Amino acid sequence: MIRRKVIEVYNISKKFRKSPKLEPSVILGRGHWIVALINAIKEKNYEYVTVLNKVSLTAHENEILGIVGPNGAGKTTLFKILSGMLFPDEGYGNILGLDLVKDFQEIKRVVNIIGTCEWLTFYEDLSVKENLEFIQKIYTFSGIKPIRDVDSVLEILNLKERISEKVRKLSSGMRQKLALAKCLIIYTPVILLDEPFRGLDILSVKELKEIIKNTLSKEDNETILISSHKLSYIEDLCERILIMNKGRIISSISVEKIKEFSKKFMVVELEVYGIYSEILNKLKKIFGQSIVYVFSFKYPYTRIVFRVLLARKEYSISELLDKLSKYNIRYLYIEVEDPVLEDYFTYLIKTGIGEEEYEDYRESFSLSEN
Amino acid sequence: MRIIERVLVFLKIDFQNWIYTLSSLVTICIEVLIDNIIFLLILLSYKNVLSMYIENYTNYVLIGLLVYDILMTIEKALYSALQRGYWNCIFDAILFAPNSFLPYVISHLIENLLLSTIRAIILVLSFFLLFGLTLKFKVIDLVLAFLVTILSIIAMVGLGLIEASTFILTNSKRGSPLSHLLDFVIKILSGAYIPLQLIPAYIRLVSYFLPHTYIIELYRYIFLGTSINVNLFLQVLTVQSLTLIILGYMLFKLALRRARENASLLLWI
Repeated sequence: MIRRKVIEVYNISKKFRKSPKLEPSVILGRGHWIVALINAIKEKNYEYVTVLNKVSLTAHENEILGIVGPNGAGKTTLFKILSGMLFPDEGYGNILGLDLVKDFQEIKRVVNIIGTCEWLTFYEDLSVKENLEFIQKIYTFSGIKPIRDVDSVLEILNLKERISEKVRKLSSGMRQKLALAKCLIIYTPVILLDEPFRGLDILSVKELKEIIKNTLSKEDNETILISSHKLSYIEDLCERILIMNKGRIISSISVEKIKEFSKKFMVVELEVYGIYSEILNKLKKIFGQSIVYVFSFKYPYTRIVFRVLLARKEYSISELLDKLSKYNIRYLYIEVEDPVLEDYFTYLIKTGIGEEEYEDYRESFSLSEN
Repeated sequence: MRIIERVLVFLKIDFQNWIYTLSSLVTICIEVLIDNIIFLLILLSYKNVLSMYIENYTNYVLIGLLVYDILMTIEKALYSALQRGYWNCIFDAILFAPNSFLPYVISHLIENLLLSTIRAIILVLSFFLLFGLTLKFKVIDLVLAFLVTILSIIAMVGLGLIEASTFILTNSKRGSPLSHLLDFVIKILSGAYIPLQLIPAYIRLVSYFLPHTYIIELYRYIFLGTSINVNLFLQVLTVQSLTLIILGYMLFKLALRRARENASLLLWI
């Protein structure tokens, strides 16, 4: 079944001006603030940072599309542009036929965004109910009718017993859940969830995922774009995942592609005591040509965790242990496992293979444009 | 009617959030106390000199302080609305929907004018209790009063727009402790406490550039009948008001465009 395209974005770029540094003397001294103001108007003395670099993407009706990337990849900026909060410098795009720049106010009627720290927008000294009623009124001002009342929203979020509690007394998990209320109160065809699982425990993540999948996607039939810096949070939620790095989409992957990746590679993770360079050399000798990359992080007191991605070859644990003892590597634990999305992501970034895939990805867009 | 409804919603939520109002009331009491101390110090130090210039110094200062306070409330309304809206994430909460932030700014202005009225009442009461104030006001010219009020609003809105533009254009989002000092200096230089004649001539030059000076003097003329060149003061105030409103409008328009391009009114989204 061919589904309707809801979001179409082609080659959008965004640069941000670095903020000017204002010394106290600039604010109130010798008229320097006048110079600062004139410079600001003339756009002089500014440096620019490219946050989005020719990003193209499409999302279909009722699709859950994941966007994954490290901090600073440009995910939030992309969401701001898609929600009509920010204009792109270059490129064009539309959401349900509404232009991202010309119809930015209308776009706010069809797109709902939950920001990274959405709970900070609540009035902390007001109760849960008062806050939600305020949100309802904000929507009503714009002529958007709520589809659920406060009680049923709180029932879905499992927060009904907290209805009269002040927001400041809620735990961070509960506040994060409450942030989702904005999406449940009204219906918009598109929802953008920016890092919704940030700082949550496993149970809360699971609970939020249920709401996203069952209520927002299945019941309300909404198209959802969900960003995260951790693949494991969204891999079981999305049909398709875009990987972003340094302002570009470096790859678009489906769950099938990940399975294919798992067939080709395997991961050995071990925690050891010792000197980093020495152990790395020993690992290179043990695994030889089959090493694709070694990812490591260090703890104090020379404890190091190595995560080694290898071309798939059937290593038995006993065989591995023999080799490690032969090279005198003292490990705290060792695990042999299938690679997860996280490994795929690191693989793309570390090996630079993403660059080629990015070109293929862009080519597919230029074909569809034609 | 719709805008009134929206303004009321913002007013209601702000008063529900009573901690902000309570902290404002505490600040008001401290400010009134400082006003009283300064008034007392000037009175004790320059009693003889002041009597040469002014018939009733208590009424003279009271008019100066009340007018100055209302002028500053109007001038600061937009900047403080932007600052509060930004740091308290109120813009993050209201701009995700196709809303204008005008109702929020109006509600903020009304709230500040209400607080300003409370401040005026406390100030009058304190002058009455501490210095035996006897009110001797009469409106000399109603038409002039109306004209000065209109010009004052235009001048202060113009200054407020310029100040608010710096919030976005020069990224001065945290404000500056020095700005409070600057406000105090303006309060002295605009003649709220002492007659302009008592300010040294070279410093007085600054006073002549401040619209506050003309507005305060004109209101003193209207309520107390002090002797000033009304026509000259009105002409200068008109030129200042028009210049400030045009400049303020242009700068704020530019600032809003920048804010829309860079989403600089949003903190978290």
